[in-house]
This record gives sequence, structure tokens and C-alpha cells, in this order.
Amino acid sequence: MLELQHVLILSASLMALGVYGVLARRNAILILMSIELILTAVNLNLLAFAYFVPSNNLTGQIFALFVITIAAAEIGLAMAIILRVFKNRGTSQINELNTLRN
Amino acid sequence: MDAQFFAFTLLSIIAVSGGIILSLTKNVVHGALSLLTTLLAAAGIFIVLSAGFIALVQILIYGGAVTILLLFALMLSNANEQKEAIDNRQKPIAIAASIAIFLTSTAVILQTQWNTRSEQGEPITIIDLGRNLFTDWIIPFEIISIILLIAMIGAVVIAWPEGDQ
Repeated sequence: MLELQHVLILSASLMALGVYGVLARRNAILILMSIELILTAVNLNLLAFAYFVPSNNLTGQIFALFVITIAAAEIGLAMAIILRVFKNRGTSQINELNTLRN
Repeated sequence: MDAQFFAFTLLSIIAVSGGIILSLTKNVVHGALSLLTTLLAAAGIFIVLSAGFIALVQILIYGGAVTILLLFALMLSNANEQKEAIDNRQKPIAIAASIAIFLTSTAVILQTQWNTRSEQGEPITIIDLGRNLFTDWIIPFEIISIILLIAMIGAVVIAWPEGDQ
């Protein structure tokens, strides 16, 4: 029997993997992929609560739809920024983008 | 073990192994493909949670658009050439932080008394979703379409070739 806790634990593990990727990776595109993983974990949580919690409104599913839309907008804009940075600086490794430090 | 739990277990094993490959691989293209695996398995879990329309949107946007965009960006930025310097120095902190997040949230999830329902309610159809989206949620819906439009224009402006007006 599928319980709410199972879905929430799966979502927590995807979230942890995504946080590891964001913190440990150097490539900006890999960091973006990890952010997508985190957003998927969030969607999983929203849909799990929409399915298991007693109520008859659709807020969980509609919010998941909005999260997917925002993620699509974010990834398009971030790709454009990363490609522009690569064209100007010749790298997409975030530790080499330190012009604001000095 | 009923069919729902079996499907959930299978799909969650696929999703977590895709996430682990994404976190550990040295090859960024393999990372993108394992991310695609995870997102499609998540779409399957959405179907298990009777959110069929969200699963279709997930397959369409993530499987169709986002992964292709990521692969094109990887190709255009030669990301596969720096294989040895793929992780940075704060890797131990990252491992500690992710394990801490996982253990804390698992402890909270297992200790909370969730007020879940015992029997299945009416399944939510696309008709309900569309009607709700265009009545109660019409303002957020319009705002999100403006955000998408702005993001699209911004992406085109940022990626435009220099000196070519």
C-alpha cells in the first residue's frame, strides 16, 4: 500500500542529490541540471500532498504546473546567459568567473 | 504488495539511480541523459499519483524541450573537455550538506502524524484542471504567461550575436 511517507522520502532523496550537485559541481550546466532535479523533487511533494491529503481542490496540481512553467523559463534564460559567458570568457566553469572579486 | 506500490518502487529506483549517476558522472552528456531518465521516471510517478496531465506536461517540457536545450548548450560550450576539474574543493561540505538534508527531512517525515485520507476520492480530470485554471487561478496564469514571454525575449536578446543589431 502506497503511503504519503514513501513519496516524501523519495522526494527528499532527490532533493539531497540535487543539493549535492549544486554545491559540488564546477560546470554551470551541471549545476542547472541539479536545480532541475530539486524542482522535480518539489513537484513530487506537491503532487503527493494533492493525492493523499483529504480535500477536493486542485491547488497541488495547478501549483506543480506553475513550477514546471517557471523551470522552463528559468532554463531558457540560464542557457542564454551561460552561452554568452562562454562566448565572452571561453569557459563555463563557475570558479573561473571571479571578475567581481577584485 | 499491490500494483500501485510495485510501480512506485520500480520508478523510484530508476529515478534515484538516475540522480546518483547525474551526481557522480565525469561525463556531462551522460549526466544530461541520466537527468532525462530521472525526469521521465518522475513523470511515471506522477501517473501513479493520478496526475496524468502533469505527467504529460513533464514529458513534453522536460523530455522534449529542456533536455534538448541542455544537450545543445553542452555541445556549444565544449563542456566535455574539462573532465578532471569537474568537482570543486567544497565536495566534502557538499556531501555533508546533502546527507544532513536527507536525514533531517526523513526524520521529520517519519515522525509527523500525517492527516491522510483512507479511501480514494474522485480522480482529477483534465476538464476539472482546465476549468479551475481559468476561473480561480486566472490571474496567476496570466502572470506566468507574461513571465514566459519576458524570459523568451530576454533569452533572445542575451544570446544575440554581438555587433549585429
